Amino acid sequence: MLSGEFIAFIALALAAIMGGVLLLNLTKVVHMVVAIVFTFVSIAGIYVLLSAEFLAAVQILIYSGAITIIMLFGIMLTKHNDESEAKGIGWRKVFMFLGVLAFGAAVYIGIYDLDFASEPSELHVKNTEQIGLALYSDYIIPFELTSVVLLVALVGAIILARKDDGGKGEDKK
Amino acid sequence: MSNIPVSAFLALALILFCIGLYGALTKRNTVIVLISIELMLNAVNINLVTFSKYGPAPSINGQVFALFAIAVAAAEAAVGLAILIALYRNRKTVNIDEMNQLKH
Amino acid sequence: MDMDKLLSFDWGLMAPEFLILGTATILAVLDLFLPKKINRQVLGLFGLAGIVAAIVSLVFLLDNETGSILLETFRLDSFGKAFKLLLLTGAGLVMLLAIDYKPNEGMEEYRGEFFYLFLTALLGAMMMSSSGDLITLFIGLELLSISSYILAGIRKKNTASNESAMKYVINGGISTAITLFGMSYVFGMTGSTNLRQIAAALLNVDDSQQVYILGLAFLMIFVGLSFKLASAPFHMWAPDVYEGAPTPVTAFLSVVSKTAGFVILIRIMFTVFTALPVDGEYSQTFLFANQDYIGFLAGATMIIGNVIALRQRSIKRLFAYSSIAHAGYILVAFSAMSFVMFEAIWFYLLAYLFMNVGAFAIIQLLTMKEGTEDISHFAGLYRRSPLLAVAMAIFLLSLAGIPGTAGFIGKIQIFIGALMVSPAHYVLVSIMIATTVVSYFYYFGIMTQIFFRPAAHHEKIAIQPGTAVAIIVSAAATILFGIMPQLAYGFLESNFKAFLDFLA
Repeated sequence: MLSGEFIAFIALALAAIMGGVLLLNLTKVVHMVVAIVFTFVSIAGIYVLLSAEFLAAVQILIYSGAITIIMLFGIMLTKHNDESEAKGIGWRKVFMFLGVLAFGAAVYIGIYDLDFASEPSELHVKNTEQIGLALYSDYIIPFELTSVVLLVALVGAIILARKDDGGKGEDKK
Repeated sequence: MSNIPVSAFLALALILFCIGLYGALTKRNTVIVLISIELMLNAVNINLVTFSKYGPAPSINGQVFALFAIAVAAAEAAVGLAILIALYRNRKTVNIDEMNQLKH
Repeated sequence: MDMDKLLSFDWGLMAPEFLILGTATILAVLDLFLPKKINRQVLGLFGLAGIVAAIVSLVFLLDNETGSILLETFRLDSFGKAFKLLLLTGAGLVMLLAIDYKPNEGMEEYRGEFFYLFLTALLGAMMMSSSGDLITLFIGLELLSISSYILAGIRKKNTASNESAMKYVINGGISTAITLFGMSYVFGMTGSTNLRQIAAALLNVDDSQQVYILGLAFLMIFVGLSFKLASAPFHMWAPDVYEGAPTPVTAFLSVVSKTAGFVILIRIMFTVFTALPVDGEYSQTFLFANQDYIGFLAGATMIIGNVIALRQRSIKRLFAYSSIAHAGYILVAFSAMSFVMFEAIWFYLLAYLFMNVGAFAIIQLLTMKEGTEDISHFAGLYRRSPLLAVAMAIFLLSLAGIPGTAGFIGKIQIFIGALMVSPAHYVLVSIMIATTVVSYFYYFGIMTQIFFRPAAHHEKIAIQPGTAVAIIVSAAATILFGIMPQLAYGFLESNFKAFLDFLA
């Protein structure tokens, strides 16, 4: 039986994997970044299927928005239209491929028929409110600590990326 | 009631994680390596959100964990790129195999 | 959550963390608004004062009962207190080095950032040592990591520094993702982020498939965290990063960051995986069943570290491999899992802290002027400055594990721990002895340079006050704990009651 949900899952999963495979196989760096956007957006769709609407919105904003844009900036500020990959298949790549494949297979054995007979939860009801309540009651300490992480990242990104020859060229990122 | 098995979501996360891991280990361009790392973190988030809904004790905690992971991933990406730009200013390269000054 | 509830928690438990956070914030603001011409070294002294204040407040908390805030997202138990003392002491000594650090090129503008990033990294490490919640542990880990990435690359006009930071970020990112992937499965099998709830849930796991996944998760978390320890299989970054990073940062990474790595490793492994039964049988728990794998990694780490260290010419690279080797020794204690494990690891990290920071203080003195880090700078040190030469000899002897030094006591303790369990870990112990003998070659190689080689020039070495304090404290502690280790053990015994509240 094919429900709409199932079809949506198949389509999103295929799009996500396709984006990942394209990331590995394209040659131009900018194309790779565009390919990964497909993956990020499809993952947001997957989140909706998993009743995580708020996370889906965050995924679109942060990954498809912010991270992709700064990656594009990174490419533009360094070598754009770079033909990234070296030609040919080195032994190292084959070795890595087999290693990752073995890892994937080992984990897959563990998960392929995993099933928890659990009650369907009510996560989609007032999803954002539930997250907010958890975040600002139980998880207030990690939440505040995250603000320090972001502050550090902000300071770090500014001091490392800014040009300070002559003292006035401030290209804050 | 859903008819998508839990393992389907977990398998998707696993595939994306493996793609990210392979990309992070083999790509030459540093920006792509950083993106591959983001892809790995995304796979983790799919896992967390899946367990948040279908786990043995479904709760919102998994989504909160994923939210924290996203925040940290963004911070890491920003710092990584800033370091890359500082490096590019001095060395004019973004390729990992050309970063071989520190070797004996 | 309303204000009354918020205030009802015992926030006093977090006083050391609040002090560090407050100092870091004040430093950031001061650095922003102080006029350019004011010497930023003052900020370093201020940061040091903050660390000392945090140590004092922690000492006042030593008698406190085990307490926790908000579902154990913060948890102050004796384990946390003991290791936080190490972290704070290490960071204080490193701060002394940082105040005196003056490289030839490109640091002047970022002195202020340099100091407060140390403090935020320290804050992350402290949170890692006193939390009972996966999310908080993860955020603490990342706060430490991200601060260290920036610190490693802060000499941004120096290509070596850039490159080391880049390698650090890439390796760190991959290891973070692997750790987190493992954590996500642990969360998935139990539905909780609280370590003790996870442990309780795992007691009821009898499905062999779930045990299998948890085994993989264990492996992933261990591999991911071995990045912080700089142990096999994630040690490759250490030599490059240690060499390229500014010397105080190298000292920080090899001491504070490594200690924090062991803290989080013990915290997660011992709370979560000791509860997990193997194959539904309760006679043996998961962690004990996997001792051999940890032992294997410990052996590999010791061999890799000590053997490759033999052919290093750069002193910082040599110390990177030496620090990999020391991570291996501590992993021996970890894999033996005797009931003195906590004491053995704590004491070894204490000894390692003093001997390594002291050695890095001298390395910083000698290499700052020269611009390169070749071992030959040590040639004739005895002629140029006998006191420095003697101090360096003490640190090297302690690192090698010669009787009379703290390093010796630490190693003996690990030996005893590995031999007293049954079955005893004879193989690991013999690898440890063999690699220790190998390590004599490179440590004594430096000693030969110091005492028997003629100096290239006889210029006197000016010692700045901060570095001098760091060297004196480290040398004194190395000798003191070598001759009277009962001081440290007595302190442990009287204050921490054998860490019995770790799982309670």
